[in-house]
Amino acid sequence: MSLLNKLGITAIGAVAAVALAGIAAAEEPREGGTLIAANEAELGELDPHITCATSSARWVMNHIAEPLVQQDMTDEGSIPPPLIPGLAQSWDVSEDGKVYTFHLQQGVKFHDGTDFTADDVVYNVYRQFDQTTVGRENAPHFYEAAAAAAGWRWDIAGLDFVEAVDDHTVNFHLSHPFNPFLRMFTQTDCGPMGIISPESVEKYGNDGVQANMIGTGPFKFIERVPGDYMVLERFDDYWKEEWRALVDRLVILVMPDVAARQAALRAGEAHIVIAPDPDSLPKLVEEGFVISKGTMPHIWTVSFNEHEAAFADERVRLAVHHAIDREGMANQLLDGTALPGESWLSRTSEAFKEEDRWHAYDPAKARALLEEAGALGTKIVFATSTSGSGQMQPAKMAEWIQRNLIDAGFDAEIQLMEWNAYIAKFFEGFDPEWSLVQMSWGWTAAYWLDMFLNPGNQPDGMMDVGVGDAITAAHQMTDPAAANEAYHAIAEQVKASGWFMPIVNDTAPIVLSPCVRDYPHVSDWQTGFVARTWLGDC
Amino acid sequence: MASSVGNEEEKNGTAEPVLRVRGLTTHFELSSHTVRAVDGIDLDVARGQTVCLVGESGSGKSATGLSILRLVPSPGRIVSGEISLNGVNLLDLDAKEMERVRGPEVTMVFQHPRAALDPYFRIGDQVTETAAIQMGLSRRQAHETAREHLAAVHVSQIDRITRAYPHQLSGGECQRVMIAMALLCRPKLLIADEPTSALDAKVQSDLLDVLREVTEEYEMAVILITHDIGVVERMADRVAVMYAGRIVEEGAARDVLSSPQHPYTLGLMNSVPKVGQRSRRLQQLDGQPPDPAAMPPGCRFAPRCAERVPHCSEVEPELRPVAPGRFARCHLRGDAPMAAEERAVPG
Amino acid sequence: MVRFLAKRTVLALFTLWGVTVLIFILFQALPGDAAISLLGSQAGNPEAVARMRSYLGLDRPAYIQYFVWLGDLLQGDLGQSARFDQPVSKLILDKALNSIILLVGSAVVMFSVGIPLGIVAALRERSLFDRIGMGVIIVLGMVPVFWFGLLLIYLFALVLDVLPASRMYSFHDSNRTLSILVHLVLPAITTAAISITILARVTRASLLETLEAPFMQALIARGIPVRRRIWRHAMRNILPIMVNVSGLQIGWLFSGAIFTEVIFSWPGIGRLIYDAVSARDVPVALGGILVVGALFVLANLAADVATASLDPRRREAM
Ligand SMILES: Nc1ncnc2c1ncn2[C@@H]1O[C@H](COP(=O)(O)OP(=O)(O)OP(=O)(O)O)[C@@H](O)[C@H]1O
Ligand code: SF4
Ligand SMILES: [Mg+2]
Repeated sequence: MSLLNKLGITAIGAVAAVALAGIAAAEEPREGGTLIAANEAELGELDPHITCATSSARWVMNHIAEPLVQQDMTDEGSIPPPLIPGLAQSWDVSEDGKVYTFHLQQGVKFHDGTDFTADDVVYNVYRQFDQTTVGRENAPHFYEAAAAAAGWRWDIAGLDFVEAVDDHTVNFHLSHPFNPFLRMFTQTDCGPMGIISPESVEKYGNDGVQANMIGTGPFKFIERVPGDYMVLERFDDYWKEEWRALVDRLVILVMPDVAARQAALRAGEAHIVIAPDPDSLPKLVEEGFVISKGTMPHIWTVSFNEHEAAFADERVRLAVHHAIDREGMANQLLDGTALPGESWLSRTSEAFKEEDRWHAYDPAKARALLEEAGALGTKIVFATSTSGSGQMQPAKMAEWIQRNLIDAGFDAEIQLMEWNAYIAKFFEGFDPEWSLVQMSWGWTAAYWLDMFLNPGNQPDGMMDVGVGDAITAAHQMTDPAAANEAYHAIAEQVKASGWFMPIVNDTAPIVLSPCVRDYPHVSDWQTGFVARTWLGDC
Repeated sequence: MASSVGNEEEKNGTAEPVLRVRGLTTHFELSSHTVRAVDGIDLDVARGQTVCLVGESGSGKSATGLSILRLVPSPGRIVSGEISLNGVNLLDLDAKEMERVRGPEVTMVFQHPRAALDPYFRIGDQVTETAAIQMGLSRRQAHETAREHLAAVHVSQIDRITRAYPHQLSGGECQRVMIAMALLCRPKLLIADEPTSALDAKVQSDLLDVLREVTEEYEMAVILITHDIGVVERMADRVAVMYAGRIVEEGAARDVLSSPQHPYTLGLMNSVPKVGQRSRRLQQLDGQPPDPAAMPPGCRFAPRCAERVPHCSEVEPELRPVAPGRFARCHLRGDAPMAAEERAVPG
Repeated sequence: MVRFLAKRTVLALFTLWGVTVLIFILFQALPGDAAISLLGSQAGNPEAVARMRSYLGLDRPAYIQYFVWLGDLLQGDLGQSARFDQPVSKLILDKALNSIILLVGSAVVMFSVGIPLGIVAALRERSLFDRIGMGVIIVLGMVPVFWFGLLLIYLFALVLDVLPASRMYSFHDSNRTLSILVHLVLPAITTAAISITILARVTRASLLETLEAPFMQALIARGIPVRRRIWRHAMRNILPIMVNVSGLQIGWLFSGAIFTEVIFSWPGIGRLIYDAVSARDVPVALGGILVVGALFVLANLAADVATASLDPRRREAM
């Protein structure tokens, strides 16, 4: 990545920040009003213990149901986002790294008026955690669907049991040390651990939770109409003054059509547009709208199909790496809405290093490697979806890659599939026709590495580069610094293997109406913690 | 033109006929050529008089009738001429004025009576509507008057008929209804375009009686378009024979029937089965009527004429008196010297 | 009449049943299922997928799943959406109401534009109005609904900024009914566009044909005034065909609404189905398609019955 490019990104961020700061400085935060966000997807399953959709979890987590530990979502600058107290005001980790003790906030009330206690944490965990896996009986409120979605968490963390020590202390007992454990509470992938009121579960039943979500967050759940909207309202008895909601109501509109989202913004019917059309950003800025973007755990990846005969030759794989112009894609094709991929680690990961660089773009070298391997004209089929969550603009990007590959001496073809069909096929095992298989992903927590690299999670076609044990070993280190070094070494190993390639990192731009003040662009999937966001003049 | 004057004086003694048509020319302008359906005809009809218009299919009879009502369908167009109805030239009227003329001044009865009725309204409603509009009556009165007129055309089972839709009536019943409605208009001139040709013989005969009865009662002037010599014999005071858009012969019915002058009329009469035979319809003559796109020069009948002389194909004959009150369009008829000379030429 | 209705109803029920079988088979053929869709980032975790499948009952053979669904349906139960934890019937009912608002709006636009346009064009055949009107109609008929909708959004919402271009109402508006009406304008026009062209063309053609019918000539010959001829006689004559075409078009408006609802984020049944298909939410998709199909069939049946009963000749035959 060039320095110029980096400066460019920072400069845009800085301008936005200065502009926002300038306005904010002149004004006192104002209460009231309805803040409206146009969401890019159906909110789907809302139950925090089940939902796997980033697009719904970002509104449920932190806003309605809060986790024990949070990331500082107001500090845009520091990456990774620092861990800060959530419903737990502090925590201790035992010497052996196997017992986590959380000291809970006091005086916290659920939206239904009941008090939040240590028992509630236990109740919430046992709703998700299948205790039969550790030889005990399940709690009566154990929920199979939640276990299906969230079981992996407790599995990877090696949870043995949870106990309430007293009203405000809870212990998590792990069967082995698990280094990313605290960060895990902040992550919104499948079944995030937002605390909901046990009383509400008892009252409405397990499958009544999403229609009657009762949490402790700064917003109360009021109403949700599938395919249409969700309405939240400020919770007046919120426990933490600094995070109290400023607006009266937060409305999330379900608008899968990007043109419709932007039309709503222009018409003043929405203040926040998630996932705008990158091509229209300059125009929107011209019209006075504000763009907010940040560093995300996102990686737009390519996996090399292990069954592709040509890839048996390391030189052919490396030729692909040198052929693809990641920087050009990020800056030219995507207009600076992405950063070039430089590591298999997320940019927000603690293990990521600023100086990390992927195999350099060098078409001449790619061609030389191909010639040397006698593989000029090798046919490559690049598989991706037509659209999809986090996929950015797959067709356009695939064409860019196709051109790069052809320039370097490959023969390249593209295969596009509808998103849901594509992920299904992806997980069922790569189509033998596919050579390069695209997917977008990434978490801040280092267990992201398990996703593609742990043989237990790999679909057929994805190469086992032999780092599974190393990842597990790193997870179980008790010294965070040592663990980060280990993760980094694994990423380097992945890079050297040539079987995986990060193409770009999305900066996930969000467009704001000029009325919006104090919108923090969060460096994680939970885009937008809007409790402290308010509506000023515009 | 002389013809009408003679005729009127003969029958009524009045000076002015109800209808006076002069030089009526109606063209259908098709993309490839122009059909001169009516090509400069003169026609007079007096009060109480029935003129039968006869001629081969395509000779322009209907076009003449429709022209008088100014109902020529597109792409047809009245090109020139004069249609005086009680002294008013209909071609000078605008659409609104024309609307007021149709009905009280002139109306028409068509060949296919069922098609001439609105399929979606009960007969009673349709007759009542005409009564209300043409006689300016209230609904109730109109209703009564409608029934009276249906009785006048000898409709049996008036209740059933008024409640029925057109598809529930026989052809004869439909035509009675049409005549009743025409009657309601009390027109000075009634044009009947083959009013009975779609019906069977008995019904036809009854209807002609009805028509005669009502037109006589109100002393209507009638133009009766027909193919049927039997009809002409029964109904006509005068006969006008049309050929290729022109009138080729005209005269009192009995004269024309007994001693046709024009070779075309002659041919027509000869081809008619004699009285007593079943079919009395005009038969097609040998040969084809002229192609409207390429009218022959000279006499239009020349290509089919048995009496043709060379001059016939060069100069078109005028419609000239051949006897008192009789006219024919032929070089060989009347006292024209040209005709004699031509006949004198050997060969 | 009763026999006719019974026959048509049985046929319609068979068709609908066939449609559900077909859709069920299609879902089996599509890659992915509700479990994969719900699990998102954990879809690669075989244990999670197996658990979720068994929770959703997707681990049973497909034909059993279908018969369970059919059995429930026969008892009036359309099933449950696992994604929303709501009965499918409730989801559909909520959305159907919104769709009906859109449908009524579109029908109003279709009638109030299509019919007058056709009438005026026919009465002034070959006039400038007729030529331009019919030209526009032909072009409009060729433009995909999607493009037409975007064009309207661009013109009225972006350039002129006079009408809202998305959703059914605004959270800013205090008067909900008024807000819905304003939001209805563009989607209704978009949905109605194709049907307007069809209705206008049919109106024009059938009116022209009727105006040239012999009985029209007879009416003129009897001096029936032009107003009466057109508004009473000609209109009554084209009424059955108009009712028939309108009925069919209302059926098509349902399908057109699916696109419109997506473009304009109108929270109707079309979008519900669209979304359910991509999330492999089979009960919702099946239920939605069944309801739309039933409405489509019903609209057609109603149109047929209405047309027949408006025609004295066919009324007898029934
Ligand atoms: N609508 C029309 N378009 C074009 N040509 C027409 C039209 N109506 C009549 N014609 C032509 O005008 C000429 C005269 O037609 P018209 O209907 O007056 O004949 P007719 O004597 O009434 O014949 P018939 O005995 O068959 O009723 C014919 O050559 C016919 O082809
Ligand atoms: S003018 Fe000549 S062609 Fe014409 S009818 Fe008389 S004889 Fe025959
Ligand atoms: Mg005729």
